[in-house]
Amino acid sequence: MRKSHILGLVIFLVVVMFIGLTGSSFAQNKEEEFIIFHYWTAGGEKEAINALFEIYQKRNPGVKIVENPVAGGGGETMLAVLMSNLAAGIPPDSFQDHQGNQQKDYIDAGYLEAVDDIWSESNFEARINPMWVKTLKFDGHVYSVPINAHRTNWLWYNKKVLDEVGVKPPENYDELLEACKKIKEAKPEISPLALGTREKVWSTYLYDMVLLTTGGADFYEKANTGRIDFLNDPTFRQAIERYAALIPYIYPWHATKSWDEAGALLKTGEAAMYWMGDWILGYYLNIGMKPEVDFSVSAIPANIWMGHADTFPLPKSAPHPNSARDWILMCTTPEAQKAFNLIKGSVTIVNDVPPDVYPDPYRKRSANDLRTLRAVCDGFHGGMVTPAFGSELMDILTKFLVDQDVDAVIKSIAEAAERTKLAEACSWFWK
Amino acid sequence: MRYYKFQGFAFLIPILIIVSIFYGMIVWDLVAAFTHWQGLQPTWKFAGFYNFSRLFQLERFWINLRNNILWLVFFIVPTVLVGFITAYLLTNFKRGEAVLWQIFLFPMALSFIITGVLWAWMYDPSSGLINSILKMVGVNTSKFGWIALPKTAIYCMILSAFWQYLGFALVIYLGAIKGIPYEMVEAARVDGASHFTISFRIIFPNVGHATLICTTMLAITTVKVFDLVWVMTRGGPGVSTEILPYLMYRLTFESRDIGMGTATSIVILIVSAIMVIPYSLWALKKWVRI
Repeated sequence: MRKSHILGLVIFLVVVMFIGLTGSSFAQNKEEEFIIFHYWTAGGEKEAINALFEIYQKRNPGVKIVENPVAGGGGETMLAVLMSNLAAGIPPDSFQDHQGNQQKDYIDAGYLEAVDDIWSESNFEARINPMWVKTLKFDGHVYSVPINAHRTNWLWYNKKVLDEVGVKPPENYDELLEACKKIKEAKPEISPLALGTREKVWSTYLYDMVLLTTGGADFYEKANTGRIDFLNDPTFRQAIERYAALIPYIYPWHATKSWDEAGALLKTGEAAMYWMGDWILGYYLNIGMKPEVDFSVSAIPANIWMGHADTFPLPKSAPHPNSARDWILMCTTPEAQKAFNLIKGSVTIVNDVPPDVYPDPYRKRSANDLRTLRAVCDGFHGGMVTPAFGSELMDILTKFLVDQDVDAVIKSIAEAAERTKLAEACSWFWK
Repeated sequence: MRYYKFQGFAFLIPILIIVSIFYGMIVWDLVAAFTHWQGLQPTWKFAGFYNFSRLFQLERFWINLRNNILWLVFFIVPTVLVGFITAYLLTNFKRGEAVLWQIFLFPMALSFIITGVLWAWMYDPSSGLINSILKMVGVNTSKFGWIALPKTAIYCMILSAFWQYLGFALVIYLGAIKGIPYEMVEAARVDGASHFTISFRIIFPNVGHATLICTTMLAITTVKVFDLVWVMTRGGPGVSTEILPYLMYRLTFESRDIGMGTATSIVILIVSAIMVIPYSLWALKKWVRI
């Protein structure tokens, strides 16, 4: 073989390799598509997003829906893939996101485009709880539409255990602590409060609860946006002391349980109550627990709705902006909201879907409360705190769950807020 | 000769491209570690050692580094020692060697994910195998939290990795021991040396290359036990079982602090280099004879 032949062969191979790597993106764009990244892949969630796809397909018969087209782009890896795609300038048409500080990072980086026109076209702002506006509007602009509302200030309890011990379902912090004490006395072999911190984020849910029940909604919002003096604020100290007071009643091996495994402790009778968002309802129904027979739920505090939404933002230079805008517009309709939420286990953001469409009493109540009560966003998933602070907070709190050192935890939280510049990063919330 | 050199180089081009992308990413990482990059948008503003100084101020970083060192000590030493002793015993066991060999090697076929799930089940304090057995023999297990307690969690985790990698050390030592001239051992035996003397005075010094391979490979493993940590405890309780690669992931993707995340990765790169370079130099000397 001659030198030139071999060189030619090698160049040919290199060219083929590059075409293989990049060619797939050239081949696209011919037909209209809608590319979406989401991590609703589990049973129940998948069906819910499929219901949205069905409605979308009816509105846009010619458009091909492409879900998570990057290998390994589902579940927990979605975020990493999404971040690199956004940075590389190849965004999807829309993706699953939260609100508040969770979304603000994308906006700061200039990855999202405002959808103010879609909001005004669908009169969206007037149809939702003011809290959503507060956590979705950045400098007067909105960048996404929320699709569902998950309530997180729910205390699920094993009805039989509470009946046997003779405590009424707690509706505030004091009643909760009292119930814990009584259950521990009557049944020392079971843990009054279930918790799973294998995903450390659940430790922050209890933190939100004590902030909310100690200082009220305004204090809660101030604390989670860094507008208090963590070291010297007496209300904050009291909240942490209240957290500490609950720890002896928490399931001791929480570090080994995931959120659903911890939830199952109510079924096996190893725990009596569980502080968790309403997505656990679908799990309880799945494992064969009967509502109002095996379990029930109460809200703490009863006069506030706390929770978060999943949202669909519009990325800047989305490859198919028309498809994307129609998707987002569709998500504002009562029809799409209802179809999605009935299956997903959450409630609609929009107030014009009547609460009695839900088959279970819990969501009826959640939907009704969301229409009428003061609402706040939960800390981590709701994006009240920044991802950076939230990430540190969960480490601090899971350590606190073991050592119960109030002074140390206050100091650590103050330091973390300082280090991550929490107050500065959250100043948008107060504008 | 020139002919072959040219063709050889030409055929290497594709792999060179891939390798250069790989090294390019390391350079990119190094550059990013020295910028003010927090959040999702690259800033490319030079920040000096800002990220590193923030990283070194984190108490958590030092806990992570300590955990990495704990892994180095409590994973490598027992695995190498027990691997060597088992290999020595196996060479003396004339029968059933092949079967035992398979049994020890089997866990090697598993990934850390499976090992993690398996052992996390066994360690589960309320319904796990270990506590269930202890309960059966009448032990009060209410204090045995295994991976649920910050003090014991990391050792429990190291034990599961030890279980998985014992076979690896065993195979390396078996191969090395079989390469030793039989006369040497025989001569020692005739002189009346005990098993202990034979194994640690004669065989062990003669399988130095196996020890080097074993310790280096196991050291590299300790740097990348991310998956085991992820599956078993996610770094918990608190941050007691976190290791540097896990911290890197958390800082980058959860805190979205790319600057500090890349700074962590540079620290990992340096630590790994310190562990791998002596082995590489030795290997080059031995096999390439430079």
